[in-house]
Amino acid sequence: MMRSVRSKAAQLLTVLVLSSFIVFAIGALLPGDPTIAVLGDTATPEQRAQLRESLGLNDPLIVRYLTWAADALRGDLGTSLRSQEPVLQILADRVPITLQLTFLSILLAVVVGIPMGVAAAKWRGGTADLVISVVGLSSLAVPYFWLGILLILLFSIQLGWVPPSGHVPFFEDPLQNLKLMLLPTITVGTAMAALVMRQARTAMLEALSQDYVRTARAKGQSEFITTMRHALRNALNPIVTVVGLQFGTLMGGAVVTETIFSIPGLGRLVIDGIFNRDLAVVQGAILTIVLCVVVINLLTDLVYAWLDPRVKV
Amino acid sequence: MAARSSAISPVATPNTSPIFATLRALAAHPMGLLGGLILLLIAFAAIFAPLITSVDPATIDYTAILQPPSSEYIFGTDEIGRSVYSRTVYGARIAMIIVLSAVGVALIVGSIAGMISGYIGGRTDTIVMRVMDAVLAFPTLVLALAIVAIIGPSLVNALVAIAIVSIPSFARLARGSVLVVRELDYVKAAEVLGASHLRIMMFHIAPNILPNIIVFGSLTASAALITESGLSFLGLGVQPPAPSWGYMVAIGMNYWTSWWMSFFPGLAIFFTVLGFNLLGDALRDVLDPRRVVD
Repeated sequence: MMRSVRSKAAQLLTVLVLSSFIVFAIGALLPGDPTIAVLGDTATPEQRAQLRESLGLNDPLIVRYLTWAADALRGDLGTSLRSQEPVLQILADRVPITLQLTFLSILLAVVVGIPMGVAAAKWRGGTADLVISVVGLSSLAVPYFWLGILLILLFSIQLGWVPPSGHVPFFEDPLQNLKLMLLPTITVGTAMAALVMRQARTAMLEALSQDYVRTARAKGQSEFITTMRHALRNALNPIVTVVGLQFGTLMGGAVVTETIFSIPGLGRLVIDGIFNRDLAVVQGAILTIVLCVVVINLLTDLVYAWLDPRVKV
Repeated sequence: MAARSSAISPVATPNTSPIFATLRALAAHPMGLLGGLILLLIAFAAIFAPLITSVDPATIDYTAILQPPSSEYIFGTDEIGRSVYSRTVYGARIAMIIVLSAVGVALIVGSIAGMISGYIGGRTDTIVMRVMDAVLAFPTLVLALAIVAIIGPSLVNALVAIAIVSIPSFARLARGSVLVVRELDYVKAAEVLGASHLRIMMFHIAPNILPNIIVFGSLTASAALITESGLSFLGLGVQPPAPSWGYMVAIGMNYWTSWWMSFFPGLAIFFTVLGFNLLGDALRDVLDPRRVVD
């Protein structure tokens, strides 16, 4: 047991080191002269050379990585070349917004996906199953950005129910915040809901055919309790896994969705950083995204073990 | 219930090729047939684009800007009077070129890397797989964005970026399959007979893991198209004036009242992705005799 925990931890650490190196390399390889962003176009070549030296840009790549990683571990991700703000401060402002969007999307996916999957399994082969399957297949094929635009066209432009874009911090005006988050949540959450639905359907079909379900029925347990308490409880594990493993995809969806709805989150930060050649910001934002994905994957493993005592971490 | 001991046996009867048998089984699979037909239609549009459009996708007509769909322009026109229909049809070319080549490259590179890694095992395997894990920790679109930002936006570079982000999944799949297959008796028998490692991998292991990889390839194609259109939506894919679906959707966002500008190219992405998904699901049912088709 101890050994498997240790090897898991070692594996996690290796992945973190390797992916942080990729993040660093992305920033280092992005074209563009960072000295232009600081000094402007008018600086002399000597001034540039001096700045390059003081920024450590002339050191070997591996030295620069180690310096960067050591600083990052201390919480120093550099400063934005554009706004001169510490990257950590920018991230602190942006991360909660993206996390709110992703968690609302997961909530939507679970609340819609699980009942649909259960219903499809329960009435397997019937009309409900067919309708749910078609809706699910279609939802999986809709690109995020197109769905976002269709939602804006329908609910904002045509019907005028919600504003098309913008963002208000939750603690400033919770109602307006949720109103603005509604369409982005549907945009990011729809494909996820379809995935959850498909997984729930498969897992429920499996669970409903088990002996303990037959036993529960034989004992005279009501069909509802049998489905919910006996079958669904056991079908939860693969559902949790699909949600956990898709977290990365969700973060990718947030990048596009934040662009459409003008939400100042992590995704927008990456895009703006790339277009502005703001290296420290791009590195910091992508590093945060990768950290979130790795942590969520770890949590998924833990929840899996907690839901199913037979599984050892 | 299919017998579990049959392992992964080909579906073919002795006198028919596996490819023919697979096609026949696909034709009997309603969802697979639908997916195949959708993709054939898209492929037809891509190949015969000049024959099924009357206006060149690059023809600008300032006297007919932002026209709604009509008998003359069935998908309407864009902000500089180009036919959205022509551009959507020609867009199929770009989409198919990028998706098929990117997935093809990723499939070959990823599968070979995964097979070798799984076959050799030991430290090489650990190193290769950890690197793949590290790449997998990045959301595909974010990594593809970063790669394109480094090497510059263009058709070839979008293709390269999508291929790179798709490699790890193929490697993982191939490695997992190799670990199972190499324990099978006939592989052991080949080893005992003194077959070389290369021979075992090429003739005994590869054909056996191929069905899994093809199924995954079809599903990856849909993911690749979503990534490609995401890149061009954000302005980092194929550069204008080339008609790329994602970019067309993005430009439509500047003209809210002209809904057709975003709607039709988006619909094309939707159907193509749907086609690949349906085909992938059907192939999985057809190629795996252990799976009960429901």
